[in-house]
Amino acid sequence: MKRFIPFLLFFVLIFTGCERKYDINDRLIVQGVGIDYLSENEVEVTVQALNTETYAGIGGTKVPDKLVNNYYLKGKSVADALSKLVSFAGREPLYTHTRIVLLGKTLAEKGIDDVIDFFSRDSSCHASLFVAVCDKTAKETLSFDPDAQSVPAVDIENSVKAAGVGAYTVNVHIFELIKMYREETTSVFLPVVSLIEAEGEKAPSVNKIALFKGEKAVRYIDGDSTQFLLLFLNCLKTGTYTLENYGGGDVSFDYYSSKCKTNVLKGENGKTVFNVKLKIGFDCVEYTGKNELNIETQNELERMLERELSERMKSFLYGMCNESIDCMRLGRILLIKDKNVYKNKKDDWETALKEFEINVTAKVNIRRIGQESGKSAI
Amino acid sequence: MIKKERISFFQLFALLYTCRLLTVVTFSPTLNDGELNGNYLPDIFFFIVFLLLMIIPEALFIKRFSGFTPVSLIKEQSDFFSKSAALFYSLVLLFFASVSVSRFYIFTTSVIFPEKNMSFLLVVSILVCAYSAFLGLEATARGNIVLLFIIIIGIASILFFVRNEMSLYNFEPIYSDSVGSYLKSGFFAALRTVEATLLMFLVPKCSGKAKKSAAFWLLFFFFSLSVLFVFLNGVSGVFAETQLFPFYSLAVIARFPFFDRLDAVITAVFIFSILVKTSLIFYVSAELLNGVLSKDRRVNLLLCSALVSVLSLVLSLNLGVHKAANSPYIFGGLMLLTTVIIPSVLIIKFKGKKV
Repeated sequence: MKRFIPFLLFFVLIFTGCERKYDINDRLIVQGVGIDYLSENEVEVTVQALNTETYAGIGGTKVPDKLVNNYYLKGKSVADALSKLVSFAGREPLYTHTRIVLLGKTLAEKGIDDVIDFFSRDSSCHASLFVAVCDKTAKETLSFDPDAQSVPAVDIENSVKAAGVGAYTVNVHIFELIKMYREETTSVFLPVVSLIEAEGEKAPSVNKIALFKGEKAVRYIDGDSTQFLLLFLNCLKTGTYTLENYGGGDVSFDYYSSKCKTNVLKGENGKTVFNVKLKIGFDCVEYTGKNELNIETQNELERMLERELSERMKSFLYGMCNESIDCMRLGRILLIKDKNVYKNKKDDWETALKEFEINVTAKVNIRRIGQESGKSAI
Repeated sequence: MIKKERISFFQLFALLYTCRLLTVVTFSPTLNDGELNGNYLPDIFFFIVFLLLMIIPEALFIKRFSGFTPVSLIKEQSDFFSKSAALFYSLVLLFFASVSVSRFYIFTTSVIFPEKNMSFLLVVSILVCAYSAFLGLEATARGNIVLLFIIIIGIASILFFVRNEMSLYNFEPIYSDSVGSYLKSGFFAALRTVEATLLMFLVPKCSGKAKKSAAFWLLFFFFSLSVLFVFLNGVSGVFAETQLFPFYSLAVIARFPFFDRLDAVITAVFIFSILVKTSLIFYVSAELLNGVLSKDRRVNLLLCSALVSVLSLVLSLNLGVHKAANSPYIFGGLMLLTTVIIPSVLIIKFKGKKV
């Protein structure tokens, strides 16, 4: 009996999870959630779930004719709208497999505070979920291909994921969104998903980001500017930079490394000065001009890149500061480097941003200039 | 012939380390009001300082009355008071166990399975702990070494796979708050170290090099606590303050090449740790209750299981009830009483007397 007890306890313990039996068809496997603003007290939530219904044919069961079902729910809040899902779908939703959350353009511009509150509190929203803003409504974006043979939410998630690898936009998880929103001085930024049409078919694309002031989206910037944001935040993993008008052509470089260090100093007139130092490594991948690219011209290219990158980064940072948008987390940098100045300035951060001085220096190393073009071939 | 159980000091401190690690990984900014908020590294330093100060009376007691526990020492004077002390200590330890179990229950019902009733799992888990305690201290200590190895590997892997999310700008500057807030935070954290109470009852059952083992595990604990909070701060930043269980959220964020979420790993860490801690407390409580309620260890363990099951479910009714039980005033008050005041009183009372 004594030896039997541990086995008994072990099996009782591991079988405690078997009290309710769920077939996969009994649950609504949610893949994507879209939220749109309708009016002051009304939101529309689009839920995209896998279609696990099968229909019996003459020869037996058939494969479902479409991969997803979309449910459009209205309510006073996100939680209120989602509570109606069970009555629409007839099954209990399973949110743990949700790929992406989309926020409609109007919602982003009206304010995302209530939505963020829902994601902070609800236990089914896991912190690593991707979140993005749409160019139009989330409803339209999520249901862009009603007869799709692939899951639109998965396609959108893949676009957002891939965007994080290139240098033109970002991917943001729920926990990063909440972190940015809760930091006192930081401005939120989110990728923007648009639908592009090619050969009669629509596909999701991510090529710009939305910048927020508080809870409202106020500006959208393209890939070129986003590159500098990523450089500044040390988030740039790979990407391409093009140096224009060199020897009658453009030189394209791939980033192989990038580092940005920011120091805070007190200027002569008592102004706070941010000294930004960029250290970038490039590999040359293409040249469309007439000059020869070789080790001798490498130095010249490096100097040109250093000048251009410094000026463009400075222009980007000043541009953001003048619009009182702190997506670069200058506030956090100031908090770490000089907390006394931060404490004095944080209550009127919008004004403080416009008063900062920013100096940028860049150090570029071109690792590989590539092979000789062969234009002067034998 | 009664079998005398002996474990090494290394095993003892490993057990206490696992128990305290549970309190760390189930740390909740919402439920641990006043403890380890904001700037964690100075908090940890003061926590260790206060912990060492708190165990001075215990260390003096152990040195002065080698081989005795407070209960066995009181028995030299009065059988009645000895039994009362045994009952008191047992109830306090079971209360501490209930708070830990209810924390785990809140975790499973808030985060893992919000729609399920986990009472049955809770009761079965407690019975498993009771059985482990029944097998004896040696069995629990040996099992702990295996589980601790798995726990450390699990936590290390989560930290390894979350390292890419770290950013310097997620940290708060050191000493951004007043020294008073760090002192308070460190003190409250020390008050939650129930392992200090267990020490007095387990040292008489140990052999080996006490000082070396204690120093090793204390340093290792300080190191692991610092690493855990550096990662929590560096990855989550202010996001951690919004989460009921920030370390669980950290595991959700971690990404492994095959899996997107490592929360199953942290859940396993929680389960292993709670099993070890509850088993250890049951063991000590059953020893204390021997001769007070029943001479049969099985009966004592069943009574302990019943009490912890009921109390932990009551403490899990809502977050407010749990927070009240976990408050520094109730929890910490009992800790100070059992770890500092009673040993100090006994040292003074038995000063100069031969035992």
